[in-house]
Amino acid sequence: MSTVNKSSDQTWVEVEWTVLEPGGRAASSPPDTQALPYRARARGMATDPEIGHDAEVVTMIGRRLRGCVRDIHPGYEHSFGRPSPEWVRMKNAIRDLVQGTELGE
Amino acid sequence: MNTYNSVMSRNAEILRKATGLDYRQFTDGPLFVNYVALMASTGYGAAEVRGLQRARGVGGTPMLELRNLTRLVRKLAPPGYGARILVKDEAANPSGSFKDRRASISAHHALRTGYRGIVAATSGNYGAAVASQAAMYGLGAIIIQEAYDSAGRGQPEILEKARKCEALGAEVIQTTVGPELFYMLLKVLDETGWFNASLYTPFSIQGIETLGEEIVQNTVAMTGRRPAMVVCTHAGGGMCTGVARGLRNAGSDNTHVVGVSVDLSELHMASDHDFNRKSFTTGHTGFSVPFTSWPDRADVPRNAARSLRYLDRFVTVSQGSVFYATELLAQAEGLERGPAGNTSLAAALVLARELARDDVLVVTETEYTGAGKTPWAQLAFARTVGVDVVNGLPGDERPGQVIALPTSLDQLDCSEVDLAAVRRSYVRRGIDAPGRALTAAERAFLVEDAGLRDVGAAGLEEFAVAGVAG
Repeated sequence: MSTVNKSSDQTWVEVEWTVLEPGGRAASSPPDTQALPYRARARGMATDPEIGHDAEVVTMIGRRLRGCVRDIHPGYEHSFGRPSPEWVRMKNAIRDLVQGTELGE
Repeated sequence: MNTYNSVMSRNAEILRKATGLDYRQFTDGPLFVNYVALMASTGYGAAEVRGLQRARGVGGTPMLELRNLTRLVRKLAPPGYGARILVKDEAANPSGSFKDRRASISAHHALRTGYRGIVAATSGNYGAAVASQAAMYGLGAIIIQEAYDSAGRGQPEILEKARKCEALGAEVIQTTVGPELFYMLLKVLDETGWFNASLYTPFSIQGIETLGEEIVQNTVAMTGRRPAMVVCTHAGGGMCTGVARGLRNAGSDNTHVVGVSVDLSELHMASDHDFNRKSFTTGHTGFSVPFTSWPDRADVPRNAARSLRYLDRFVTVSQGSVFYATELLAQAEGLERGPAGNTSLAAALVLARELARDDVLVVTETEYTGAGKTPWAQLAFARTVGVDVVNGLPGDERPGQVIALPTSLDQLDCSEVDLAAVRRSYVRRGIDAPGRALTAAERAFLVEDAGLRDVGAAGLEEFAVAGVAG
């Protein structure tokens, strides 16, 4: 594995590439999946990246991967979510059950 | 340039290098596996495994008595019934789930045998476990996740696991939907020469045996009794296999082992359309049904997780029931824990009613929770892909279409999976696999592997056709 240049002009990015085209996929895939390309994403450091352009990234473990830059400084956007009314109803029913029972010791 | 077929055709050679195991020494033809020899091939004894895990903070997790849930369950049980419910708080492992036990021996072995890193194909907590153990042993880690549908949407729970893997220093490759995950794994193993920390090697299964052993030790210490029933979440069957083996190591041969899966029976696991229509990424029937009826479909030549040998009973629960159990555990016991690990808890809340008050039922695990993993994150995502969320009975749920959240404990239910039918399906396929009459060794293997000691080798054909009309 080559030594990583950790200079300050390196930017954390997410790249995406096509691994297999629709014609070259596993025969065991269902039809809806076979009709699509098999794609992959990974994150790493790139030099002067531009969204929509190809770049080589160096991943967390120092591997070099190539793909199209889809995000610069990618973050984690998943959240705790907003509770749905059905979930609140369930939560309140559980609260009533717990409060209506002699628990603890 | 690696194309699909050229990589797949080198499957055996790549896996031999990446596991350091030549599976040919344990097999004879397409059916027979010398399972005792396969499990012994790690070269590590039980005491050594315990020592390796403890030295890295793995295992030795608290066993918690769920007194309030026991009390609530007893209110619904007939007089004299309602077992004490205990749970092994596996969220206390370094990366937050029992999966550290599975990764620990692989990581140690990889370092000892000269690999520079470990690789796993998983969208689950196992990725974090591999990343964590790799960090502890000074190895690199690559986690390959099936993460996105073709619209680029990812299940929040899978995205959280990717975050956690990267937080622990791993490279994460996230792919779109498809069985080519195995191809990606082979490609990465081939490119790096790293160790395949598959969930299904003997290293992984042996690492779980300590959980079964601790369950017996903790239960005896806390209650003076051995567990009457142990309830395990079942995906590929590793936990049920490893825990049951551990129970036996600790002399609890009579403890009932119950596998539990979330019912996703109407969804196709490799379908781009269906991929995001499930609110559980593991512990569901999409894994457990194919893996119990034919275990050798894993990312190693032969699967060390062979749960039909050990299962006494197999039940399914609805997604809504697991969400209910998750919320109840939080409010009644003060334990906010992850969703998939509570699959077995949801079943336990029903099964404990069948056992006597003196009996002890052990739920095998909890897991960490957080953003992406909470029930409401899951339910909000389900809505965005068109799944309806309602309040209702488990029977109202339609996997991929409707999630029904119960509103009272007595609504929880679990459905029996006909284990005899699963064993029959396996035996039929096993009889056909060699394309000739079975040898005596193959017949004996099939009896053991399908859990059919009562039927015996002489009764295999009769068992295989029983229940077939006409």
